[in-house]
Amino acid sequence: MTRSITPDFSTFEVPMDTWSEPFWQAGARGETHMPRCLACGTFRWPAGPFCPECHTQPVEWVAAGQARLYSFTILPVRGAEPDAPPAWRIPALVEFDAAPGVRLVSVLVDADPAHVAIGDRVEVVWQPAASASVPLFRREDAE
Amino acid sequence: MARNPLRDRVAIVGIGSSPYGRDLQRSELSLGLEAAVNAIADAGIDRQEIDGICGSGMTSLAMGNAGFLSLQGALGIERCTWGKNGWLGSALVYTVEAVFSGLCDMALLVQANVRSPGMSRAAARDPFRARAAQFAGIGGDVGLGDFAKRWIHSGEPYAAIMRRYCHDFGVNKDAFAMLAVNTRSYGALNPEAVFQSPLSLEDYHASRMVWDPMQVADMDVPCDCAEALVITTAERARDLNVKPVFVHAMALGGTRIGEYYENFAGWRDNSFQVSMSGLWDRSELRLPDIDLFYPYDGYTMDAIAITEAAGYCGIGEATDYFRTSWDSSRNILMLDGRVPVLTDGGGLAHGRAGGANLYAEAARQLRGNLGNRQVPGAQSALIGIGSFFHDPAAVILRA
Repeated sequence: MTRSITPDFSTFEVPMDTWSEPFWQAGARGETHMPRCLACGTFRWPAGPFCPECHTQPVEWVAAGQARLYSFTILPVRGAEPDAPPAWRIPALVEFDAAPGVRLVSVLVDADPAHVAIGDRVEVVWQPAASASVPLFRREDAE
Repeated sequence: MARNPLRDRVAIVGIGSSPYGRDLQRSELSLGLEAAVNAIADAGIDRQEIDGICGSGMTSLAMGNAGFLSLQGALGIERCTWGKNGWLGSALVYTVEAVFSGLCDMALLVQANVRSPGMSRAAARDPFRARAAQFAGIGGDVGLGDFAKRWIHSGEPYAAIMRRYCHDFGVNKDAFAMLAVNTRSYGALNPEAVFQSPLSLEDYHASRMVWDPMQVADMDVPCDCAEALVITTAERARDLNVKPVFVHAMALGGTRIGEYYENFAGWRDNSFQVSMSGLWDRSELRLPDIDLFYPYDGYTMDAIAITEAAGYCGIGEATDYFRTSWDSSRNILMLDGRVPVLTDGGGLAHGRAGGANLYAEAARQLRGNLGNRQVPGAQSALIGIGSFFHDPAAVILRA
């Protein structure tokens, strides 16, 4: 069975600002951190200057914890060669046990499309892009 | 009860369409102008009476394409005291706002759509479409520069949400299939529909998988088309030689997740729910008073969520509700045994018009004389157009 592809992010410029930069700095160390409001504890993603819950500005960056699939779709990818084997890209929505209320849009890589389900535990794979690494995900029990 | 000072004070008095086609090789402006000319003729007004224009597009002041300034120039309309662009459900709401507030008295609303290069491989290969897109310059500013919003196509989050719907409520895709088959049954009655051939429930399930679990039969059909409406005050409408269709109540909707698809907050906290509850807060009418239903079907998932938000059934209950509403002799839905759905064929069969087809069809039905798809005696229509996240409009029109 062909496994889902890893998209090419090598020319992708990651946009970042003061509020999102710590996310990418943690990513460079292979860690997934999310910003939590210092006043009320609400997670804020995409990162931004004001808490949508209490309008406080400062955040602390905390480890997001176990990642799971909230949902996903499976897109057949047509190869350049007409007789190329079938391939799939799996865009995914990922949520975190320790950062409720926010999710990442990402891609599930190296997965057998026939064996992916909502709620699956996934782990981050930081994939080099042009200006930073981007968080992709892989099923934890993928053999 | 919320305020609704505009109740029945603004009316649709002109309806015009361009042809619908997969490959008309025409620009948005060309299509929009044809619809506009037809709508002005239908209203029976001198075009110089038009003093406000809502053009096509998601950038409110953008120029070019079928935007309001291009339309004004090309139609030779001397003076406008109001102009804006809009899309999906919001365009009609903006236009009615402008007439009600007094910024203009006779408004022209034009919504043009083309099968753009991003919609399919075939469209991307078409040199005409590629060249036209270079001159477009609108509609591309959603999610740019934001890594968090890097869905490649809106079908991806919608497919993920559709998967989540089936998961959360433990249902298969039967409701999606019935909705799709319903539209194709009406497409066979609409000479302008891109899809004139009916679809069976089996055909739906056999259709090509695009973004698993979303199939090609779940997606509206890209085409070249335009719709235009002339909208004025109820007072002015009474002097014209057409039967006016009144705007009874309307509401837009947005939620705290804003435009961030990934933070989708679930079935009770989305824009369809907000716009529909906003509408019911502004109307004394209730579902038993509604004769026609137009839930936007850009994706079947939209139409199902709008049906539930309107209150026809509980959240997650569309599958059972559609089964009890299914007329198997005609392959159509009859909600509560009485209310037909998407009688023009919707986006799924009539063509991808961004919901403008639904406003036009509802208005035509309420005037009457729509031939073999006329719903006898229809006096009111409920319309819901938009997305889970942005631009949902809920509108009641009545004869």
